[in-house]
Amino acid sequence: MGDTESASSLADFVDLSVQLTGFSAAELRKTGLSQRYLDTVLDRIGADNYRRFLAAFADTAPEDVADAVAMDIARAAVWLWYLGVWPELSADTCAALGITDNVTYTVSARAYAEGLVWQTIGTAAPGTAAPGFGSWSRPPRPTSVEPQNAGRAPEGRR
Amino acid sequence: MTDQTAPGAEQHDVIVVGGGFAGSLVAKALGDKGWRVLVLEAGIGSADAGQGQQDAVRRFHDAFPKMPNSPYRTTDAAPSPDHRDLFAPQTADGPGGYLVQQGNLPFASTYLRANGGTGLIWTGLTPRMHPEDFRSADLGPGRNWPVDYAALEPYYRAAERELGVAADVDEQRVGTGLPFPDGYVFPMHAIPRSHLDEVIAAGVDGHRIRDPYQPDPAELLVVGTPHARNGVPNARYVDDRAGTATGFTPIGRRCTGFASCLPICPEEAKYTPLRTQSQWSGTVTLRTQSVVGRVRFDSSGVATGVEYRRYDTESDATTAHTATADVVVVAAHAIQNAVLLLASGITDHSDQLGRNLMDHPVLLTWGLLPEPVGPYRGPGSTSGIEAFRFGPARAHRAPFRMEIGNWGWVWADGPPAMELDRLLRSGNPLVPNGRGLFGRELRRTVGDRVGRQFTLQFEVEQVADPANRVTIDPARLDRLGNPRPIVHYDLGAHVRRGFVAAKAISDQIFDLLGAEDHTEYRPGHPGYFEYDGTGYTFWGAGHAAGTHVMGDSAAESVVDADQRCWHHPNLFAVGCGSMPSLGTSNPSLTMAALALRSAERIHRDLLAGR
Repeated sequence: MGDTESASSLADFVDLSVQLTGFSAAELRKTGLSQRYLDTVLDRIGADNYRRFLAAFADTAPEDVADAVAMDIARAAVWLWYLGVWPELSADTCAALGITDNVTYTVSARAYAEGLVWQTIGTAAPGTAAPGFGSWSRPPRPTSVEPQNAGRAPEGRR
Repeated sequence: MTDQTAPGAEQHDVIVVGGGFAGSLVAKALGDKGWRVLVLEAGIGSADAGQGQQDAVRRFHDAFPKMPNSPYRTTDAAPSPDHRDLFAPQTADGPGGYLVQQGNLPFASTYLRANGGTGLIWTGLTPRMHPEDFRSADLGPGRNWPVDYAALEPYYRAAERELGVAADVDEQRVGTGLPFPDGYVFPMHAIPRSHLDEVIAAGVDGHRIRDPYQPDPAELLVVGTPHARNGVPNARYVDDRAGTATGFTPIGRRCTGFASCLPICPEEAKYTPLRTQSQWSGTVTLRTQSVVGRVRFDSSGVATGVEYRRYDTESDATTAHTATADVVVVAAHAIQNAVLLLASGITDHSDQLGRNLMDHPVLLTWGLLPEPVGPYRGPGSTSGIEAFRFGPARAHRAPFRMEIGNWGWVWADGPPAMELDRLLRSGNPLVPNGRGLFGRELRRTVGDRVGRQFTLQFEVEQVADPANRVTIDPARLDRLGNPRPIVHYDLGAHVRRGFVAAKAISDQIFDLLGAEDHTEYRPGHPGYFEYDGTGYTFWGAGHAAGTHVMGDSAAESVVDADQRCWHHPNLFAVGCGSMPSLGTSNPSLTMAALALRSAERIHRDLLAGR
């Protein structure tokens, strides 16, 4: 695969991941795992199925995609970004995609640590970081969905 | 020192079976006096403690789902029960797994056979028992202890020093009514409360609520819990052995909030038996991967040593060995101690060996608070409510200690992955459309719902009931030919009424907090049971006890107040298995106090024998 093709395929993956996860491209890239997650998806479902998956989401809001197999893969992609874990797929999806080794697994220790679910509640993945003695006494850090703009208060939190 | 080679039969002063909580403390106390101690640990340990810790943390990061045993290497040569066993398909032996479950309800707690034992996994909470707890039979059903709180109190202080306990003595006096000596302070200042503790305290402190089994309402107060977890040393701490204020020097780093204490503290701020082992004198030898199958006796009932098998982790090969000693101490966990003593055929005229199996069955209730509280930060629980631990109601219903759960819904429901998956499949539960949520709405909703999660954990006392027991059967053996524990377990009416009261109290607390209750108990869950037409679920706190109960006489107990077997003068069974009652406190501190007391008796016996 040429460099231009692989770069655009990573960009396509990140763009779709932005739609699925609600995190910006910058936030996703900051995990350092974009390529690793794309490689995981390709490894699990194969290049042809991956292209069909991208196509299913091309012009449709994710919630409106009718293809059950594509939805299953979309959920798996969200698991990768939010948890660092590739989940088992449904029996129907495995049959449709020819997957015989259906298994849930953590992609890597780093992937666990970079799981975005913990950002949504303003803390680190348990066992990976130490915010300091007594830090658990403080109110939770405000979390906002939009990228922070200087001088703009985070929504809804004190 | 760790000795990985076994030169056959060898003589020591003391053999300790089990490198866990009680065994490591006994070995240290005796080793410090110069006795030659051989610790035989069935499970796997690491020759290099630092590397072992790194490997364990790495295994924890990699695991999904993250179970209590995830960081630790387990083996079928010395199997450990696993939580997933309870959900495994039924076999003729009951649910699958190492424990053979034959009771009306499964014994829901697990334990870990590895060097360090279940003390690697524990949450690290160290409340003391209350004077009342030693007299269960006087106040309701249950058994009395042959020692009282006053006799054990100096050993509680010694245990608090050995484990390194952080707590505020004034808060404990006021909050629990426990008697402490004048001027006593804990080695370290109290671990800071969580933000969730403050939110709950603001909502409930001073309010009176109804316990269905008590005529007068109870007043609520959130009280901090003592921890064996490094905090700020207390400069006024007095080491009893020195007599003056010496302060306290913690071993290991101060807790900085990794929030993974159960099952592993990456910075070793939480006490584990490995810390005690690191302080062993040169006369203590540890031999891991050594499964003791029998205690050996001479014709007069004096224990002469043990038989054990060593195994390889790469192959199925095992080798047989013996070791001899003047004193044998079994410290392998309440259930494994019972199995070993039964397999060894010890003399027991009380017929109580293996009986009185107890646990803290736990009622969990869980929900969403009105505002984000920041779960999954700090230790799993930092405070609780003490008001239901004592008092006359225990004649009618089991008492209980309420813990505030800082880690969301992880115990009852699972980690945030569960909520994420529900939202991906079914969408926002407030606006159900069955289509799933993605993008910014998903991110906002996950953060909101997980961010407001909390759990209340009610540890209910289960009194000694001889019908709850561990037995063995020569037809049910593990790979090495050692008997599997056969467990007969149920929750009696007294315990079930404790659950009724706990749920009623939880409901009122949720109302005071304005919390959405998401508690659900489903038939089909292995811990589901009913009382008076209402369904509940229990979880196991991991507090197995009672199986070699201590007492005043050989007619009604297995060991005496020093945990010495009545009919075998040099055989000791130490651990929670000796406890006639659990009260409502996590038992590890009491286990440690008893172990230190027994070590003194063993030392005197060894001196007398010279």
